[in-house]
Amino acid sequence: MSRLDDHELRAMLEARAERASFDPESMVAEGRRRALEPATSGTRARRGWPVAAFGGLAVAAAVVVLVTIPLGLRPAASTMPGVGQPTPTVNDAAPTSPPRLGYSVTAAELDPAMGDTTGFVGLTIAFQGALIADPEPCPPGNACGLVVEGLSRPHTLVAADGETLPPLPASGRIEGIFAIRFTERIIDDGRMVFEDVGEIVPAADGLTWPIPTLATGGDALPTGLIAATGWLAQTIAKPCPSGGDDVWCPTGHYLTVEMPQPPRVDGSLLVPPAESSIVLTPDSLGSWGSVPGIDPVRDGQSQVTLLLRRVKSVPCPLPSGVAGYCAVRTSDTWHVVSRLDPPPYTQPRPLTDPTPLPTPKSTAPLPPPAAERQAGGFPTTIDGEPVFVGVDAMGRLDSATDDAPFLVGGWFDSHILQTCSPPIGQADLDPLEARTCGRYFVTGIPGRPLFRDGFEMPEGAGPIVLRIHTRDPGAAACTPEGRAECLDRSVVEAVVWFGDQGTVSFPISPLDARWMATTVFVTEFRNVPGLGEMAITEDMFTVPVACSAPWPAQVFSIHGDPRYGLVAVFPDASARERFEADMDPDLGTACLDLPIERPAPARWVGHENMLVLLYADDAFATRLADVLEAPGRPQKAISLTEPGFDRTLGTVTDYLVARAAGDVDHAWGRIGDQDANPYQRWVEDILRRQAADALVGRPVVLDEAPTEARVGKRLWRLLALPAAATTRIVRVTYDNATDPALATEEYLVIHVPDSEYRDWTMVRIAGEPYPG
Amino acid sequence: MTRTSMAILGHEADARDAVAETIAAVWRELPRLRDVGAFEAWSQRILVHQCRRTLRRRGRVRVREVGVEAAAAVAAAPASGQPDELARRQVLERAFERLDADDRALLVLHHLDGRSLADIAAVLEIPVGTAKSRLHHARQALERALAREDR
Repeated sequence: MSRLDDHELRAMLEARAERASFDPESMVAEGRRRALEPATSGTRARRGWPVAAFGGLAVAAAVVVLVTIPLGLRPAASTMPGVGQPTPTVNDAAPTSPPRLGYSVTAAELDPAMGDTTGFVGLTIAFQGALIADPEPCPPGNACGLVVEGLSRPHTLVAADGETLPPLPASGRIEGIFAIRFTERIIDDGRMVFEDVGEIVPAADGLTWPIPTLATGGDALPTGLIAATGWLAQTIAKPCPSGGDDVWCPTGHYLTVEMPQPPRVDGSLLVPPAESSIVLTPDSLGSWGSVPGIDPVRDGQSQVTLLLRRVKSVPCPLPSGVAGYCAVRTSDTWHVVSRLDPPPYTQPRPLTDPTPLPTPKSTAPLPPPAAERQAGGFPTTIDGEPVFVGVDAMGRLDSATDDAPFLVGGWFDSHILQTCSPPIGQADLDPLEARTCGRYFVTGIPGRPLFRDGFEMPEGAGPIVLRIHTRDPGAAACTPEGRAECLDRSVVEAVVWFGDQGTVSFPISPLDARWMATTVFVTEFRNVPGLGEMAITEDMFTVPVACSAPWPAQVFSIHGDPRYGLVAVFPDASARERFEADMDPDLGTACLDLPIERPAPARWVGHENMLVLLYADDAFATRLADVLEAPGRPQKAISLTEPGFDRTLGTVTDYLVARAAGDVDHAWGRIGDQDANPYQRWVEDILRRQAADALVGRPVVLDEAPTEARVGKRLWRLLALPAAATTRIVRVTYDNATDPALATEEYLVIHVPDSEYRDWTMVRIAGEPYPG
Repeated sequence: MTRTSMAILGHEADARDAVAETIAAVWRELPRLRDVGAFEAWSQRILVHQCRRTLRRRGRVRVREVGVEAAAAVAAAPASGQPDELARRQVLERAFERLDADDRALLVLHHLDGRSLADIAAVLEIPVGTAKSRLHHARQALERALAREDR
């Protein structure tokens, strides 16, 4: 071939680039799903070790709200809006202030926080003060002419869509409480553009109106914008005891005084009592509810302050001829104008409108006795049927020979749905074959569960038990080449359990807690010759562990960085505070019972209803506390553990824990044979070890120097260890192994300071060869 | 983004993965981006980094895939003239596959995306002079690989 020609090169690259076309929407959804995905998911302990999670087998999913990542809507900058900002504690058992919402801020409070305005974009806040004439000219195409008095940041106030700015009286200023939305727009002269959403009519004793007053107030209520704090909830149509077609099981959107009841066993929700809830216009939850990950504390049914306008009446009783009863006896429907957010970087004033918080009540099913609960909160059995989670579920699925249903546990969040569409041109194929991604996001259940058309999951987030089957007879309709895969598909038949009183957690769900706990920015940036600056991080993940009372049902060990121990998720903040006050952090170590070297003494970092056990210095603990308070705030990177800190045992233990949990994403070592499919072989290895009781072993560091002869020539050459590398051999013994061949393994742990990928890695050097 | 990743990686699944990881990283790291004007270069840098990671991961498996479309195109090509062109393109692509991620990224950014050296320098966070010399080296590497394919 002749010398390289630019035209040819470009043509080749063009052809390469055009070889696949991606649907941008699904790519964004998938990217966002990955950004929000917790490290892993859960199941149960075996012989004191954490088990569960199929991070590697978890289905791909995407958030139902597709976000194109505009710069103005930066993620997680909202300082946990909607739940107030109680100060996280670091080994501080003092009770935190209750979460508060619905407060207004003055210009004096707002001004210092406006230095970094990125966190404000998209937020609507209540500003108490005065609006005055804008001395600068109005940007074209806007109705404007006002500014916020006392705010030094250059800005102008424009009318929100469909609104007009209030006329300026002769005094030149208008005093009141105004809803102001921060936009991403900046005028050429540098002024930020705020939107005036409208003047808020405050209640007699504060900014927000009590919901019962709104529910019963009728015509006595003001017609302007009002604010109310409550729980934003949506009841679901299915599954419903009565089929979902009558008023007993309506789909409705409500703002309620009390925390919505957790879904019942059948997945349905109770309709909120009429006197303590108001009916919102349809899709209020979708429009104004939280987006997991952006404001992770606000689960779907969460506490918010909404700006409302009364729009029309829906009279009760029901029209004649309609059976049932009037679920909510209100004569008003309320249109949600906006969500009122606590402004970031400011603290609520203690004397401003202390909205009383309702005490969460629960009518969820009673939890099983502690002995009958698995790690992660799953019951061991339901009505006598075993619940398979983690590696047990993996084994049960693998051994299925017919379509008999069984129960599997996983993790569900109703606000995360998959958006991938059926392949074009294959719509007529059997769904077992054609639908490679289901509608719902369930982790911890191996494979990709298939939700048949019309199947509706309940609202909420947390551990869930599904009745599924494989070997579906519909596989007969699949193409011959796809039949085996069809037979392996898990078909969801029903929701059997969706939490109980022992797994209720508020305001932070277990999924969010696991994500939030590990969001400290642990990274080192290193200049690698030939590669440029590389970000070196840790491989973080969590798995459920079973800890006896007084630990809560949902405890997760955190792996990948020895400074992390675990995160415990409590029913509410007060339960966490009591536990934190009574429990010595060292006892947390006993709960974990893992042979991992720790760089510092144990300590707690508490926030809301989650408690993190750390083995870290003050700087790390303070950072975590800050992150929990405001997960989206910019943070500087924190270094990895000190290079001199020995993580030999921890490296192997993290691997073994992941493997015992069935989490092959984090249970990968480097295996010598690079021509094999390691993923499949690891899964097969996990299953045979499970069968032989050889998953949970005892690692011991051997007192011998690894040599080429000891490790093996071929592997030694493959490793190509740099001069700075240090290595140790760890032998893992499985005392209860029923198969002698699986009773021991050996791993070479490699430490490369200033590596370009990971400082601590390992490779298996001895043991029964992988299957296949 | 998808074109760039496809051009660098050449495999749809890998490209999808790299793009998804890039979007995830952008989503996560956006709060740390101070200079909004640098978004494009910053996100492109993340994409290149993800492609680099993907290639490194793939290196452990060493599965050789044959592009279905390329094979089909060869089969369907008329007898006159075009097969040669396709064959030459395949040889060039095989040579390109021999390059490491950084060389591939440089060539894609320059020859496919049409980026200037200054743009490439911004994306890779390297001086313009370095971008120039690296592009030159990438080009040489491709020519060497091409020579090996020709043998």
